[in-house]
Amino acid sequence: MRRFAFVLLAALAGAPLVAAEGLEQIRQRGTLRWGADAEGGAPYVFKDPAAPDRLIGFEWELAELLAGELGVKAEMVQNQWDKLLDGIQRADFDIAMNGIEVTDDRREIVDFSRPYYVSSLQLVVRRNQSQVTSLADLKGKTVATLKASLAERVLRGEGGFQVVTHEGQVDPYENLKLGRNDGVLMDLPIAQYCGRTEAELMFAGPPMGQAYYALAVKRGETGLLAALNQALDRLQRSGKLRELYERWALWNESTAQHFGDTRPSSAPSPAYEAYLEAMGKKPGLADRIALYVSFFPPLLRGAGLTLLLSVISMAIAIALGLTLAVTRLYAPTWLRVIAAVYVELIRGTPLLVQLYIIYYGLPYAGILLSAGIAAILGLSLNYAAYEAENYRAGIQAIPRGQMEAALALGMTRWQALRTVVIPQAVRIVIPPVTNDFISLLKDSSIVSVITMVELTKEYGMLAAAHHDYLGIGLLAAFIYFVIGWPFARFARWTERRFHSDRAAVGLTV
Amino acid sequence: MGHAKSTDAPLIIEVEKISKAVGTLQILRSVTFQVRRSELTVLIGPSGSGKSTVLRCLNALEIFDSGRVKIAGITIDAVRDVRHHQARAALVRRLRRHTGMVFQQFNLFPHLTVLENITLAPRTVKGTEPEKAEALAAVLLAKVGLSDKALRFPSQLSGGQQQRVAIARALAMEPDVLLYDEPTSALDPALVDEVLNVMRRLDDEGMTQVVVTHEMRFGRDVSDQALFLDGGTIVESGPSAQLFKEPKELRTREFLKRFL
Repeated sequence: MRRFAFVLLAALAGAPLVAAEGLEQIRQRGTLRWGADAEGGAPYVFKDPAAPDRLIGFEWELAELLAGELGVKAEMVQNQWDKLLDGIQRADFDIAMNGIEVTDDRREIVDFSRPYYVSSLQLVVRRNQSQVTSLADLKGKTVATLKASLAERVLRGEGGFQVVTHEGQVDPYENLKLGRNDGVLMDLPIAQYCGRTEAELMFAGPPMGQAYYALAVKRGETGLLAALNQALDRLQRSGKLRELYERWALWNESTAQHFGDTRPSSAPSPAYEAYLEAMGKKPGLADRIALYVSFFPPLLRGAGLTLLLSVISMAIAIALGLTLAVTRLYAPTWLRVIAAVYVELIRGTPLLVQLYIIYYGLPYAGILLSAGIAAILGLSLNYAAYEAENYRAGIQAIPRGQMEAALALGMTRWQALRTVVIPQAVRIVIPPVTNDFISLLKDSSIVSVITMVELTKEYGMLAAAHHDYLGIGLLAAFIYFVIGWPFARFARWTERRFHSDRAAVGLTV
Repeated sequence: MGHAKSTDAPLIIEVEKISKAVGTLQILRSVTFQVRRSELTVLIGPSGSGKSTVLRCLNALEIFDSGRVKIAGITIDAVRDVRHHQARAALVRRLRRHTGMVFQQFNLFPHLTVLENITLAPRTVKGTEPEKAEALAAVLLAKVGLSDKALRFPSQLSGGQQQRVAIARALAMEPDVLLYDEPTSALDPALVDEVLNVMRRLDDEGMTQVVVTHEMRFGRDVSDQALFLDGGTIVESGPSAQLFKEPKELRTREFLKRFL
């Protein structure tokens, strides 16, 4: 995980992103960077339920094997699942490997290696739905699956279902248990790890169809692709792949046929057993407390990033907002119009859309920003619009006589603003600006969509691994509160102080 | 009038036929007067007579539609458009270097100490060294009798003290002329004299001062020249000794009767 943290820091510091121009670069760098979403969950790559500070999973192990074959080390890059192919386009990592099925339209965007696993789709229902034995029995009902997955296409292609899609693979099963949907169609490995492990749920009918998991690489990377294919071939021939799948209880009929290796399997699956044990454990109070304590390092690391992003973004937002406010009040007309349009445009569009444009859209215009820079840029440009309005109100609240007194002393308008008006306006708006900072602190969770692993993302990953949205959620909420509280007190204190000052001066707004 | 002044001192302010209208409302109609160096001039008249507007035209806080103002050799012509006014910002600033202004509401900078209020403009506008600016401020604070308040904030001072600081602040730019816009109107009656006394002392030292005021006794006893405005015109002007004791115009007599 130290590597993982380093990647984040490097991204935040704006380290230049190395374009994946072939094998040569990977060798020179000494690392194979692979993109995946740890919030996705078991068994691909997920937080070890027994040690929340560590990632495990069959793809984590496969990445190690592949890197070993290439003579380099594996380095995971956290990336939202449905944006993995965009990450490849941006060259945030060399390969994407996270249960990505080969489809024709994905082939338009990236190149795929030979399949490393052949999955199928498995329907899961509640135990009290014993009449359901196939997908057809759920016509007209609500069926949930993962967003942008092959299962979603199958459901929509078939038609006749109310399809609900989720970002994470645990949520559909949670909702199934709660009766919010009537069935979940997802890849067999997911059904095995997230569906079958729940006492209230069961498999309905046999696995359907075949889905080929393959490594995605940037188009035209023929050298890299050939090397990966050779590596996979060696891993398959040596039996290491089969052994890997058996350990995770994922060795299935389809993969066996694809590998041409139909020997019967009776190997134990220690990784799966360990997972079942960790999930099935009904811990006592002491164990539970120890478990929750073990969540703190990852959560606090996420909180650190949240705080860092918020402080830097707010500092920029304040500087830019003040500039915009002064521009709107005192600049020549054409500049005022530009500032006003900026404020209205930014306030009138969602932060999420702005982040997507900055991170995934700008590369098409030749501007490739690291996730950290994109996050800070998105948050600060957005909040600058709100701060501009705060400061505009603050400047307008300063009595006209202040500006006149400064001008009468021979100051230029700018000198008067700088030394007399702005210092007072800044004091007046400390309370609303502090409130905005607290709100930025919480809004910053949105940058997890552009691969930043901040507090909310850490929470999501832990919750997915432990199927515990309540307890860990309360922990995360508590940490947000603890970070924000001192600032809330500060705002309150300055407000009181300011009001008593004003009463003394007898100012009226 | 407690001291003699030479009547052939050079003119330092020449106001020539300034007029100003806001919409259809004529605020000033061809106002003309002169002020000699070291004179104290009072502008008196009923509310809305235009006396404050005349004063604010003297340091270009207001623009006027026609006529011109000449102070210490710098001439400001009429403009009808604020934008033209800003185009000659440098000229306006030169004019303001020669004219200090004291406001009815003091307009001290509440975020700065008394000392910083006084040193801000010399440091910002003239680039005076901090030590020099502070030495000058100390002299001025002594002059207005507030040496012990240098490190206070304006909110910690009485109204009279604040206005004396405002006078010191204006003097710190070493102007040729001090303009006062109803300097004692916002003060408790008990605090009026401490401000008027400072103005008296400045008059004794030869400072040129123009004061818009309702303090008729101060005008009668201290000023050299008096201008009575009504309806945007100068109805009567002349040496204070004459205007306050034997006003010629009926309107002046009617106005003064209510005060003296």
